[in-house]
Amino acid sequence: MIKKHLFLISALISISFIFTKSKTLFYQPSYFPKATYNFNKNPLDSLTIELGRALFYDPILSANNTVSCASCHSPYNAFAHTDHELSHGINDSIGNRNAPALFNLAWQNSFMWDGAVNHLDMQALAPISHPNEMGSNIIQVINKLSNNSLYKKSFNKVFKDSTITSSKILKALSQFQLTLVSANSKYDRVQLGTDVFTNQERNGYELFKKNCNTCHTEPLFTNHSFENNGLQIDPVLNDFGRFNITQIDADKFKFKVPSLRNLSYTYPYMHDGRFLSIKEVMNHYTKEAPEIKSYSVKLKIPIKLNANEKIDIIAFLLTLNDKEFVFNKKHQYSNITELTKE
Amino acid sequence: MKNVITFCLLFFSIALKAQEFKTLHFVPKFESETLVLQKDYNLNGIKIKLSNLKFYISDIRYYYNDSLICTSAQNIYLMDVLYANSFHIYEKRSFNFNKIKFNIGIDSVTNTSGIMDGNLDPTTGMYWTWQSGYINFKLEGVASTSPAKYNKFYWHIGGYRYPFNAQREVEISTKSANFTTLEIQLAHLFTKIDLSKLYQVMSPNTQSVQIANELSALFRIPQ
Ligand code: HEC
Ligand code: HEC
Repeated sequence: MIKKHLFLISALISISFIFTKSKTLFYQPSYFPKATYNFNKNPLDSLTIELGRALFYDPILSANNTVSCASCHSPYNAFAHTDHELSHGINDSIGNRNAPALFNLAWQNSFMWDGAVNHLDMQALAPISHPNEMGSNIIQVINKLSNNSLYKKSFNKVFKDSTITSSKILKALSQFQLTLVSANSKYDRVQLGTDVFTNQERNGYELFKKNCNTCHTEPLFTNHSFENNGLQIDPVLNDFGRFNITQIDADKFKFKVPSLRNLSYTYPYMHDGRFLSIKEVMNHYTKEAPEIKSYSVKLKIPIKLNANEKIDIIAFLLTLNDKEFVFNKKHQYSNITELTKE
Repeated sequence: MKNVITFCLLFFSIALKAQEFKTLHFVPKFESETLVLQKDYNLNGIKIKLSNLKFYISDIRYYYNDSLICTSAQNIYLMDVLYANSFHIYEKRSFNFNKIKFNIGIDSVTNTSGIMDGNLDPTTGMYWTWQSGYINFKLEGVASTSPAKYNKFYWHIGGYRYPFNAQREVEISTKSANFTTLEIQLAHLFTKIDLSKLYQVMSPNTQSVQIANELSALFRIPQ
């Protein structure tokens, strides 16, 4: 009987320990909705996060060891890519979309500009296997990691078992990416009452709420839906967006609404990187509506902003830059030798 | 305490291993013959050679006079013609049944739940990497009516989203027994599907639904 109680108590203690441990590894801001990633199936653990981080920065995941996830998702660009409007992969091949920034992924249920991927765990399979990105496949990755003594040692340390499997690799990559929470911008400090907007920023915020918030819904600045925001169709790429996945006509040329956090670091903008500055984006939204069937009803009443109002919205958007996130050392380059050190 | 637990685990695993009863055996066929890969078949003038057959069977339920008497202990089976053993189903107890139901393919919840091990590991080649989702049923080969290079055809049938959901249920009445053989009559597909049009079906769309609609009819009690 006493034994049973002891067992129960120790179980409770260890559960609450795991719980508090996960909590410190993952920041859930009080004014954010609850994160949607199912942490029960992949509980955060500091060693697993570090393994994921090493994998994220290691070109071993590509066929010829030249391209890592970070080649296209740089920490200094809030994990977007700024040199190219379209992504740049193995053997200098050019993809057909702009690499999106990576943060607040724990709140996202669909990934890629068209929502092709339905779960963060499965996302890495796409670039690993894509002939223009990393040109490899998960079996080759498992074999390469299994033949690498540092990885063998690290997997053993992290999972208490040195067999390297898809699920261990993908869960570790998810764990690292889940820790990429961006919630330390001036906007966030204002939400927490520790900072105040300037008059211009406040005016920009009001205009933003009136014109942009239906899609770029705060505090994540996306409603996670697919919309057409009126970009002229690029006849060369002729990218059908969401339609590629659903095959529903009404989804032609719809793309995922991106977050607007960290815009100063994530240019160029839009799925094909066609705009280099926020100013160009503002001019786009105040242009005449295009003739596209799927053009969002939310934009059917044209957005009217004078030059000063545009500047005010931009001033507000700049309060969404999260310098602390972009320069956070915990997110930067690391390699597998770090993990094998005691 | 620890010893007791280890002992119990050991005891149960041995006990379970010992008590496995074969309930079903699936046999892929081409007309009257048991399927052999790379063998030349001829069906109404079409020359057919199959090179790969792999599919998921899930949620097997056994009935006796319409009342459910057992649901399969293992939820998802991956049947692969290269592994003869994968076509046998075992349960933990023996019982008589006269109807079974099961699904071909993977349900939408499993499809959206992230990474899993075992039969659902993406190394099986049954997961689409560029668009999330399991391939429920994969059949590849060569057919004289396919206009593709070398007359190849690829049928990767999957998808869990409306209206292209490709999971299908099978319901079969059997003689009352504790074991039955089921045939998978592949020739049926080549009588129903026009290979000159549907020779490369590798994502969820109207074409994959056409093929998915024929899958339940493949499963039969051998005559
Ligand atoms: C060659 C450049 C390239 C490489 C290498 C690359 N990505 Fe990406 N990544 C992209 C592009 C482009 C997209 C958008 C793809 C699309 O919409 O079709 C993307 C999308 C993503 C997304 C979805 C983000 C969102 O908000 O929808 C995640 C997560 C991601 N990548 C993580 C990774 C990981 C992890 C790796 C390494 C295993 C990786 N990427 C390697 C270019 C790359
Ligand atoms: C109808 C929904 C909708 C509304 C309203 C809307 N947007 Fe967007 N926005 C989108 C979509 C969808 C995209 C991505 C389009 C694409 O790449 O094809 C986008 C992209 C952007 C981008 C580029 C972000 C990046 O990382 O590439 C910026 C900046 C932006 N919008 C700002 C605004 C501003 C400012 C407003 C208000 C004046 C606004 N949006 C109103 C849907 C909307």
